[in-house]
Amino acid sequence: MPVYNVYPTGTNVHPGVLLQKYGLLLPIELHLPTALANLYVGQNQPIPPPTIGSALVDTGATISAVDETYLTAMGLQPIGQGQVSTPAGQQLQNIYPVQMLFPGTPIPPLQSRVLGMHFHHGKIIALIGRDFLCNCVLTYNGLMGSYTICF
Amino acid sequence: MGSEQLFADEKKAFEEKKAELLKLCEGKFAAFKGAELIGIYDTAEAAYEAALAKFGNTPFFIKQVLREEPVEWIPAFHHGLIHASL
Repeated sequence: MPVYNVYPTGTNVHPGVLLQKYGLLLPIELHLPTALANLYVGQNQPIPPPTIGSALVDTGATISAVDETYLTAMGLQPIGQGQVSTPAGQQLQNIYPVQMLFPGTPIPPLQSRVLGMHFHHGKIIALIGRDFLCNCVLTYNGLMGSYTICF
Repeated sequence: MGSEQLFADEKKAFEEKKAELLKLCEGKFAAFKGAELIGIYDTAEAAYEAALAKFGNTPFFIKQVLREEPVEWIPAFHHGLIHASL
């Protein structure tokens, strides 16, 4: 079972403080779904470069979400809509297909359907929800300032 | 295009066929383009590949056949940390 251990580092601050402040971050690349990439290759169309950023693991989210700005910039088209709870009631959000890679980790590539939303935080381009977490074991060690994801 | 208008034909077609689909293939994934039912598939990925092969990279509607529509819950969105702009 691939295991990904993370110890936030880079400053003189204790990892536990960093983990509390920034949360569970994963490096992420957004790619075209494999089927769409294969279609483009067959048509001699260029494949857009991946979108690179950080994903925040959000154990409170029932489904993963990606900044819609990046999804549409990659030329992805919506394949459905989902109801999302808001303070004002339920709201429709577009659903997109996307392939998510986690470079530098043993986490396998995911062909996924995600909600398209707009994020206020520029560095974080995706929220990883429980649709992802249902496939793994997640351990949060607040005392050590580390977390582990096992597939 | 606003969110309510997008997939209006597909949603209407799904609702019209929903009772029949629930009997035949509850839990599977139906793909629509306009009012046309493209097919029923075991997974969303299979539905996407089939619709993509037929219509190319255009909007089409993939819907799991369920009795009740799930409502997604994303606390960061609920509390305004991220937002939607449809």
